[in-house]
Amino acid sequence: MEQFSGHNRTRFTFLFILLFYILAAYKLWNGMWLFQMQPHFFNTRFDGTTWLIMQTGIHQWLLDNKPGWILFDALFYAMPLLYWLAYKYSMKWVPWVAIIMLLVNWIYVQCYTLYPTNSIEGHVGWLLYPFVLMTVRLKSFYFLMNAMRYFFLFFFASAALWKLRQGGAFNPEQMSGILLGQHKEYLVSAPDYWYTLFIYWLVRHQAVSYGLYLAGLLLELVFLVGFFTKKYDRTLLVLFIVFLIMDLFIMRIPYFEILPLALPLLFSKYGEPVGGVHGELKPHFFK
Amino acid sequence: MFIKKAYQYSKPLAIGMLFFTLVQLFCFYKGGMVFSPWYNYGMYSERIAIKPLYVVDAFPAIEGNNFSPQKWDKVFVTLKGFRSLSQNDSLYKKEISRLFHKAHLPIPHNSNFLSNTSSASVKNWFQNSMSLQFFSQPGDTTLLGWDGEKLALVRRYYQKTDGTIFWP
Repeated sequence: MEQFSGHNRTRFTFLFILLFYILAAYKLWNGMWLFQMQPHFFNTRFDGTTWLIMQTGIHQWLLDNKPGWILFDALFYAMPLLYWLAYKYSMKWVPWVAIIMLLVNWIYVQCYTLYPTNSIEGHVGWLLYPFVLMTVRLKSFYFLMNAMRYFFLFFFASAALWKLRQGGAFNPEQMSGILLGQHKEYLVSAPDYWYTLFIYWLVRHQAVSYGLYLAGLLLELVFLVGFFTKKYDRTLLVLFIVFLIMDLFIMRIPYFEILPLALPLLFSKYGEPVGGVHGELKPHFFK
Repeated sequence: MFIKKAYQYSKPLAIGMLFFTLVQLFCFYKGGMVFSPWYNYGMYSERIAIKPLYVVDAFPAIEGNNFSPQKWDKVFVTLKGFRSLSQNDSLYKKEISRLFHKAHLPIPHNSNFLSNTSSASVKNWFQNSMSLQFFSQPGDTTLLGWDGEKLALVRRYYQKTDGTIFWP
């Protein structure tokens, strides 16, 4: 088995940052940066950590605060670039930049998702990845990256287990009910549009819509395989992309923010790096 | 085994991973309150039936096919968020105060948990910020028809009769 190398780490880091900025451009295009969202009120959620952060009042400070939005956007969207510069020119700064990224990401994501229209679950990658990026040692990076792989597998597998636990999986009406709840405004607004007709058709044909729900459940359940072998990681990656596309098409939910969580699947074929405890300290760049 | 290899490499790293896993599994097992970054990923796991009646927000000049999912959510999820502002209040009174008290922590002041806004100010904000972003023509600011109280301009219904669904 080929070993995980400094070159692989550089590729991973590069892809992570590339994904971040593709998503940033996508959000900018869709008016999803904080300065475009212009938050005016917030919705408290059932999250103990969030409650502690809310005690600082920072989420209140950001309401109707244009300079605050611009400052937060600037910090959040600059961090990966700063990290890349540190990674490229001075490894000793990498942990410090990653720690700052951790703080910025946490504050930004916690506030951003208190305002409509984003869920914090989809942003979990931005909360966790700074821990992976923080390390200088290649072996630590390898283990943390693989821990993120397991987390990604859990992310999907647990969604399937929840459907079994809460009974959605055993309700033939489930997907029709979901589709009506999800698209009701859309259906009324564009009654003759082909997408509306398609959703109505699905709602009417409960066997088909329920079949779609079960197919989604099965897809999620397949991720359990990843806990036992890395052999099918490429297949899981394809399934993940299928999930994102179907989520967008059927549900109109753009869940692309979780894309970075799948990155470790691309590197799972590599074994534990050599080089003793410290591994390679210097990053390897593309030639 | 992955965690064993991690432990052989670095005890603190492995203990950290183990801690993360245990808290995640605890949140999964309990299934209620979460603690960032430990969440539950249900993704429509609860039983959802076809309701006999739906209250639908509709704006005459907005057609779903002209909106990206994000821009669509920006209108309708925001409306939903505004409607559920009263939940901030009940969450603070019923859960936050109780749980902080239970954890022997000082009970936080409600000012940081309640969104201190009014229907009128949200209406004003909605019209100014949203309509400006969504409508290029000045005459298309149809959100003016929005009443500000219920954030619903038109109500229409889906009705289930004998297993069939009716929509206007």
